[in-house]
Amino acid sequence: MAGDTEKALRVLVVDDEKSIRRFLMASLSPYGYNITEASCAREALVLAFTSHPDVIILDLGLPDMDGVDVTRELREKIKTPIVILSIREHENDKVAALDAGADDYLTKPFGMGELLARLRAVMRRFVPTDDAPFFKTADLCGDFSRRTVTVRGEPIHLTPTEYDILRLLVQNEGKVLTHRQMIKQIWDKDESSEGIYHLLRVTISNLRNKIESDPGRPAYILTDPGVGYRLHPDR
Amino acid sequence: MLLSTKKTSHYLLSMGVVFLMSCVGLMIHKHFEPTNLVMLYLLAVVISASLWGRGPAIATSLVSVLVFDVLFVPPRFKFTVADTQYILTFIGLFVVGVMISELASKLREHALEASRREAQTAILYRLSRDLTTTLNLTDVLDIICAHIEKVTRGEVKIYLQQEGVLRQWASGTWTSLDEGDEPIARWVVENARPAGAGTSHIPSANARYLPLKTGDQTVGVLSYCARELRNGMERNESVLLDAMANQCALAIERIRLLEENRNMELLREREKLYTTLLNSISHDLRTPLVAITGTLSSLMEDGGILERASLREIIETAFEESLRLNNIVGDLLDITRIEAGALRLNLQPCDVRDIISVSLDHVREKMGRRPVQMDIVGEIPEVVCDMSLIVKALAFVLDNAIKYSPVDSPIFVSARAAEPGVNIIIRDCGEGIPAAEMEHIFRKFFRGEHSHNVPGLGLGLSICKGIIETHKGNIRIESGGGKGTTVTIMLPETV
Repeated sequence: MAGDTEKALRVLVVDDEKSIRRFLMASLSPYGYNITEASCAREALVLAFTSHPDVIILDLGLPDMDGVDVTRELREKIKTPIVILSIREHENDKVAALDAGADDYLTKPFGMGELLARLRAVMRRFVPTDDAPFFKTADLCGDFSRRTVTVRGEPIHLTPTEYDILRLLVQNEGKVLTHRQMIKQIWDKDESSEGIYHLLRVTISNLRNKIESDPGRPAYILTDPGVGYRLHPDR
Repeated sequence: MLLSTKKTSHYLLSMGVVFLMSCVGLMIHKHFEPTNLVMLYLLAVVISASLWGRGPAIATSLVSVLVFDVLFVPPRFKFTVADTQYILTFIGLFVVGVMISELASKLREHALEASRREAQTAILYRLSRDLTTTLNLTDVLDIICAHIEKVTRGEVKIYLQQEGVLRQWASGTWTSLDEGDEPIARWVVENARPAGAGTSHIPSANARYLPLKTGDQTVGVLSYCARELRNGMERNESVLLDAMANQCALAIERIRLLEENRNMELLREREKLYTTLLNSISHDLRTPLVAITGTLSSLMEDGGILERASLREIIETAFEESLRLNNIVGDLLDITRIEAGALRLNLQPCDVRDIISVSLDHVREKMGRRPVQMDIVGEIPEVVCDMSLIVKALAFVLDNAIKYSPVDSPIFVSARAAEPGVNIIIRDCGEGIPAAEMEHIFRKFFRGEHSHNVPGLGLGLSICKGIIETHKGNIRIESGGGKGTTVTIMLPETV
């Protein structure tokens, strides 16, 4: 899909389980991905710095080093998108990996469709564009070059903070933003600031009231419990 | 001191009897021969002997002879005797008096001994009666100590050999072993022979140590220390103590056997439960694997025979089953974490509306086109909780509501501020839960009568309860009368 005509995207798969590497190799190759394998952190770091993959799929439970530390070490030198693929489902693990610089997090077991969608999404976000982000679904349209947001064709008024949050979510469409990342980017504060969490929740709630057709069951701004929020492009 | 005054009073009393008999003799002596009046004094001797024993009786015979001589033998009121034949009467009176006193006092001793035996038997009987009704070790030890201390006014300690360690029970509790006692107690256990005061091994010790023997083994030691310092123990006290030690050993043995029996039964029960559980779990774990391995193997074998539609069908089934298997594994892990107290709470203030919407999102596919009636009005405070766990708990309740109510019936979800926090109420229009099952619904692996055809492991509500209670909240279920089931979850504002 990504590369029938263009050059194949190179994926570095890091997992100590041979069966999972074998499965990923077999399932991703038909979609035009070119797979390189690593079974431990040391090998992964060497390959990441030398062979310059387009995206890294990283397991957290590696034999020689924790995946979160690997993520941190990679982020110090390169910007290659990292998708975490882990058996750990506790939100603390997700937050740790995302805050360390991972671009997405998928828990095992996973569906192939889901993984392909996440890979496409991180690649799309990674391609640098000068254009202001643009978001459009049947009901919601955000044109950030003109600073306008319309719901079912009607323009709506957003406060500057609400606008910034929506814009941030649109820029990271499909990706979970942790509370810490959002607080840092919107208010340039850290999470220990008094009342900042409450402010984030209230702003999200107000934003939902303005853009969602049923704020009680939001369709666009979704909560990832204990982790953060993400914008769902289409349901 | 006490003893000697008592004895003196016995002597005085017997003199009183002689005085009485003399008065009677003086009243009637005109009508009787003096020799016949001797009978009165023999009566006095018999009375003294039977009431006060040998000493007073002999004194009575002696005094009787003298008084008889002075009062009734001519010349009266003088010690001299006119007729020598009276000497024989005196000797007779004295000898008969002494013999009677001997016999009577023996009789009396026998009677005393018999009543002492009876008292001991009564003590032992009471002890054994009290012991047979007790069912645990500490009660048995308490009863033994109390009985012995009451009867003998001594200090009692019991040492028990438990799993190779000697433990000491004294004044109602387990205490640490006294340094002086330990070696003697250990010697008694090893040799199964008494030691300490009044025995051949370490007779200098203050206390006596008796082995508690059952059959061929010594289960412990009973130590007894008389409170008053005395030289040795009276023989019958020692016998009584032996008998009590015997009873004590039997009672301890009985309790041990009882406990062993109880443990065996518990073990058997547990084994039975585990077997049933394992059967049910392995069934639930294997069933999805059947579909998955079946599908994969038919894909491997397939030489283009399977039609596209049927291929799709079996693959979809296998995929659904694999998701189910993953859920089962997750539930088993969750209940294990909850029971081990290893649930890590990631506490953050959360919006209750958000919690409910994410929970509904979790069951979106199962919910299908079923109407959900939301009713969240008024000011709902934020609650501090682990949102993903609470979402999981609510999703279990919603899942049950979906599974156990008609396909197109509505599900009602409401939230209200309650005194300590927030009430979240989920109501369905299903048949409800039979009254008989209500008390079991939170038990893990419990499945209701009507749930045969509904897939599930019977863990949902136990996990739910575990999560809610870890948050110091509570979950209530009301059901019955065909009016559906209402689940109320109370979450406090802060944990």
